[in-house]
Amino acid sequence: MLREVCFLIGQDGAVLWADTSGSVAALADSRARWDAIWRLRGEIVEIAHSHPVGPAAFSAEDESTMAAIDSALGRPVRYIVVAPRATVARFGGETFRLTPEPWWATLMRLSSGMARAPQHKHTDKHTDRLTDRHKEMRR
Amino acid sequence: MILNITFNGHSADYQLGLDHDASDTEIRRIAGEVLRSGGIRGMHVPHLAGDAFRNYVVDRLRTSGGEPRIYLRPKVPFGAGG
Repeated sequence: MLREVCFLIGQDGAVLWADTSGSVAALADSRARWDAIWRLRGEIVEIAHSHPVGPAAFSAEDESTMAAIDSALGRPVRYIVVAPRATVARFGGETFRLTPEPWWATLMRLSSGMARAPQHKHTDKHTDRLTDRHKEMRR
Repeated sequence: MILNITFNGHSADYQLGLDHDASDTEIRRIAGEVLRSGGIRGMHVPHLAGDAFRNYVVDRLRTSGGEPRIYLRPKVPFGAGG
């Protein structure tokens, strides 16, 4: 069954918390999700969710939710969308593709009912530069 | 009745002189005024934007003792369909 999934990710890619929806295109608002974000706010590095049928991009709903969470936490969080063929991240106002993907992207695809993403060599120079920047930010 | 506001890394309670039927819009407006006026220690934001709570939701819960309690928190839905 295809469904959207949300992970709260800590240092070193630890999955701190997860929840799922019954929908392929939405994770409804959830008091429990917010409680987890607030309780784990000192540990959360990334908040990720899946788009089981794409796109590998942030939706308007995602954008307004990210702004709301950042304002409540008083700091910017890194956000990630895992789609069937790519994983994209948003941090510091920039959106970039994650290559290589974090280990838990495979777990998120499996729990979202997605087929395994095809492995392909990445050659886009612009995205490579952004990926290098992402690595620097994680240090 | 208690209004709990979470904003800018802080979460605190404010004693509200309202009944439980205040609309979500009223709760957001009141919370904005509370933060601008410094009504909660440690959460004084004099130049808070007028739409600071536009993407926040209001939860109306009850304590274990049955007392009404209102929480103003950020919305947290995600989704490709949005």
